[in-house]
Amino acid sequence: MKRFIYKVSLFVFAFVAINVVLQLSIPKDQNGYHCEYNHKVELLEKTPSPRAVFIGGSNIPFGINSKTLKDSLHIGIVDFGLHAGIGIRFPLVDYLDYVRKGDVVVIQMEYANYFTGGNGEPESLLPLMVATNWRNIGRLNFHQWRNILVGVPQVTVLNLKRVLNYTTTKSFDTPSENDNFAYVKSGFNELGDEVGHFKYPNIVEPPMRKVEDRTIDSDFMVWLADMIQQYEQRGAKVVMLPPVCLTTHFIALYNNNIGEALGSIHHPYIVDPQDMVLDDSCAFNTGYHLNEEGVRQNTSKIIKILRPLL
Amino acid sequence: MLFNSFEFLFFLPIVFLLYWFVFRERRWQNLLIVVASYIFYGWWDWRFLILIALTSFFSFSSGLLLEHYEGQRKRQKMVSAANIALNIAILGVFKYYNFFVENLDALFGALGWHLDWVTMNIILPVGISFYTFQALSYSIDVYQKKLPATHDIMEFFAYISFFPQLVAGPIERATNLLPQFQKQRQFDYAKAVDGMRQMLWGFFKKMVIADNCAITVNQIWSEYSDQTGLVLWVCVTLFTFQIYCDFSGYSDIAIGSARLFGFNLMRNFNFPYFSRSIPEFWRRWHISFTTWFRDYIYFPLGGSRCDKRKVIRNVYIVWAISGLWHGANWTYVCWGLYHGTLLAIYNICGINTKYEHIVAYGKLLPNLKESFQIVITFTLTVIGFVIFRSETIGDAGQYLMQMFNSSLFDVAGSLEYLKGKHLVFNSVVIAMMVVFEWIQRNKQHALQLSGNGVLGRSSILRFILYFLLVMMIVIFAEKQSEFIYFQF
Repeated sequence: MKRFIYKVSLFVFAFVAINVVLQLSIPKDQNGYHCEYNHKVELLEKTPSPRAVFIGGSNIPFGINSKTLKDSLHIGIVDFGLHAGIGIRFPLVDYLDYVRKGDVVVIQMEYANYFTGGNGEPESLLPLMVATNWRNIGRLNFHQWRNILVGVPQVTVLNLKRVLNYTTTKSFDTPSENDNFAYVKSGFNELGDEVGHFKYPNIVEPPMRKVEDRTIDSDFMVWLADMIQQYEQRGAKVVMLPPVCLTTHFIALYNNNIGEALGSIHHPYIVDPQDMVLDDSCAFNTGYHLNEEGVRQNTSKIIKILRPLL
Repeated sequence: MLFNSFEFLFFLPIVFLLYWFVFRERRWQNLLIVVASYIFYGWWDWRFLILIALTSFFSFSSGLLLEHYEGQRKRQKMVSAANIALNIAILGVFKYYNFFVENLDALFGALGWHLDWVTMNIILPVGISFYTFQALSYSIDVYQKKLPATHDIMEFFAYISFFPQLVAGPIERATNLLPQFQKQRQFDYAKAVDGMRQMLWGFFKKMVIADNCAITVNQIWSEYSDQTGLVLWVCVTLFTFQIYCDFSGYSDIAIGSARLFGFNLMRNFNFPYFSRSIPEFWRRWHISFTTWFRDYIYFPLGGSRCDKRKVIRNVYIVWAISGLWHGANWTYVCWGLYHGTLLAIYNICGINTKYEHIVAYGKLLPNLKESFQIVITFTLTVIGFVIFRSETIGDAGQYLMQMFNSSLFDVAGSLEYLKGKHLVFNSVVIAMMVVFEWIQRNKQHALQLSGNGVLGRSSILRFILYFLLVMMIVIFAEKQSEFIYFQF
């Protein structure tokens, strides 16, 4: 028995040790997509009031023009969206430290959050934690920790890839110009919008033919209602705005239960999700990512929606 | 609780340590198994526990009554029949009620009467068919005097609910598993190590192969009417590997984890895709299920020891029921009958008991004849899985027709469509699995590394192999998904 436990423990220890070594010994990717999060926190700190803060996933940096919004609405704009894979819980909890009286909080999260609890995914949450030097580590819930741990071997393999790339690029950072790859920090502008992809050809993914039929995570809705209440208690105004979405992807991403669930916590969408749908010709790659023309159309639409509320 | 869940990663070591270090006496260990199994099962929905407790209680009581009426065969027959009826009734209500009502409604609908009001929203408890059959085997075996009735309710509840095999088998016989609960278990190092290896192989098959194939299969199947015959062949072939890796993966994890607790579960898969005939395939696929049907339905009907017409009738009865066992849908019945027909043909030809030995034993590769037989058997299995995977008989028919139309030869169009469908990844991991299993086909499972092989001798190489498999499992694991056979 002792021998068995010793051997199993030894294997687990060796497995963990090899992964930890490969996590810590390889320099951080300074141009990784998730590094942009630090810049976005700076924007939260520095953008003067009055202001609107957009919180969500990549539909925001791939879908709005913050400068146009700022010029048209005459308030500061913070693009605090990064990636749906990190989940909505992380940025919403983080922003609590920076929220100011009078802030307009535009929550524009990808629909998957409502079904998966907003805890993110393994392949995204760990890179975010590494990129932000384990920011807010004490505020993570069990599911987020789980995702981080599961993500360790995946990031180990990515690190090994970076080591292999070093032999040709002489850098551990993701190259800025890299085979039409838009997911790098250098692709963001000073306002936190992703503009690097405008120069790349559109790679439109075929629409998913499934219908979104998952059930809403009721615990998440309770948590969301509580977060909204905390923002409101600090004097912010919370607006639930559906994310921009492409026509052929909409059916695979949205279902009416989301609208009903938001209604049940008394924070319904301020517009019909269908109103945020754009033609497929506006797609850059996924159902949530827009090309330059899409960003223009979506930004105009958001200006029209938000103007009466400000 | 799913085997491939984070919760199970903590659950199994905790139960293991409690079992060997705290609850060291047999009765306490049985109690721990019942508690752990009920937590494991109740993780889905605590209401399921009521059902499994009832099933266990009825079958336990029937055993005591059968003993009480010793020497009164008529009364024993009534008790046994009552227990069978009760278990089948529970299974019928929870699994088949709506199926029969919907079909009756359709039948009466043709006459202008509607029975919509009698359909109910009944949830299907996971694994109900598995533990019901296990409970039935006990009372039948006691009735047939193959086993004395047990007086220890805890060991009986442990036998029915034993968490490694509770929701998707192997369907254990009381004659094999119950006596193991009746004697003190000893920790066996070699057995535990082998169990860990078998679990590792099961996780690899489920999380790396089955779950990744599922993505491609689900996508193609959802739009099959627009696809070429070649794409449909690729899709159903992937499904054939998906279902094997999903189900045999579960069995490997179940058998492996049972070994950690000192139990030997029966073998459920014996490399079925290396079979040379359909009867051989069914001797190697879901063995605990086919032998259950053989012993409790086929043999009582007369089996093969009657005239040919009756033999064929028996084969059809068994396969229609076994199809229905898989689910409340006509597709499963048709799939059962399809295999029944193939088996009847082999039976008529008198080659149903051929090929008992391991294919190409002692050789690196099979000869031409064996290769041809394996390919033919595999192809027949693939065709059967079209019926199994389809939602309706109509869909199955259309899918099959499209598989054989002229678009089968549209290679360029098919390859264009299959781009970005992870075909290369799926092919590589499937090839890896097939090679491993071929090399190890004379063993109990693909990672049984005892002996004089390179891996058997070098602990470093074994460590590297385990490390790579675990890394692949974590990296390529898709989102946590249920095992296909849970629904049965």
